[in-house]
Amino acid sequence: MGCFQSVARKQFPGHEDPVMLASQTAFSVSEVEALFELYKSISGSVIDDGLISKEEFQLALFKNRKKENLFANRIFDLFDVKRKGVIDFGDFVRSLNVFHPNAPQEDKINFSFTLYDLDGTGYIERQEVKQMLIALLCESEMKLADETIEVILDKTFLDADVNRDGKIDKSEWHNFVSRNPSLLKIMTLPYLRDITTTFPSFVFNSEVDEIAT
Amino acid sequence: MELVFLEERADEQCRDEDADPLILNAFDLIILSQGLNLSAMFDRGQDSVKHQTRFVSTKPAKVVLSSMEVVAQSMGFKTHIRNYKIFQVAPTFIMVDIQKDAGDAGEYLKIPVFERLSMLQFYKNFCNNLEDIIWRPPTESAKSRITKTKSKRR
Repeated sequence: MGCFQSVARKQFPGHEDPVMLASQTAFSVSEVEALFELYKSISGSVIDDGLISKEEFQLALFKNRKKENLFANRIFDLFDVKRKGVIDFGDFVRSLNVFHPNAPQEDKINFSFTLYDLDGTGYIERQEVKQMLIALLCESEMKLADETIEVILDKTFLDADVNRDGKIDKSEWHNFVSRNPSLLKIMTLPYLRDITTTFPSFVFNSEVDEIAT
Repeated sequence: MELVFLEERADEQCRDEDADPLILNAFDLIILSQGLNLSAMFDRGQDSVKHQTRFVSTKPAKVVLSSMEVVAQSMGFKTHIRNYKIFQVAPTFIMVDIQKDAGDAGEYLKIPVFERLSMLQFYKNFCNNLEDIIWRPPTESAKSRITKTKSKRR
């Protein structure tokens, strides 16, 4: 076990012991190992350095490493906990943990709040929502009249901005998504329940391979 | 043809075909972004052909629905539209979001290639045939585009 771990840490900077990660998350040890299989394929897809770069993340999401997307950038930044410009395995597992069906709602709500708070002021401002809405329309190659965009924003803030200060604070967000639970569906990945069947990791074999090299 | 609201949307916002479209807020739209769909990471590198179509219309929802049915039937396709959502974007605008019944990549790959290609063609033609009800901003020369497409097919 020790031999395997030190080899893994050399090839995968930031690699952590699956047992440790399992104890800190909703994943079992075998689920963490399965996530490692997924991680290996993503982190090796452009440069085989054992870390997930922005390009590799884009490749995994869009099947196109050059595709720029405001929301994917936000997710990447949130996964890149240590702000190093890359996602290591520990970051990967701990961030995906929030998307686990069994993760606490509160964690999902907090994550989504941080996601939409583009400039990190601690508030989701109208200008930020406008920017995100326009980004979505661009992505969908759809256009709406400017007035229509304003109507949508008015309606959104009427619903969410309870104290009428022009921005959504964390407690208003909690309130808002509790009344609109469908907004959180992006925060749960049912695939994480079947991860061991989708990405089988034959631990015995991989240990043998590592020791052989 | 089955026209059913997305089953995954199993919450109080589900409506039947006759009810008003969903009145939405900005975040209902924002969450449609592909950049927020992390399930794509689990696709094991297969070609995830996204059969997703969105368009905006100023026609009433009932008109849009019946147009979609008529067009699909006239094209001879009966079962390809499984999921759609209609959003009330603003007092006079609705947005229609159509998604192929995604399922998992494994299921999709069981469909013979010829059928997959014809599904793709279906979505392209479907939208072309719906040009009359799809709204474009005044600056785009949509009309000339329609004429070109139609004459190409003849």
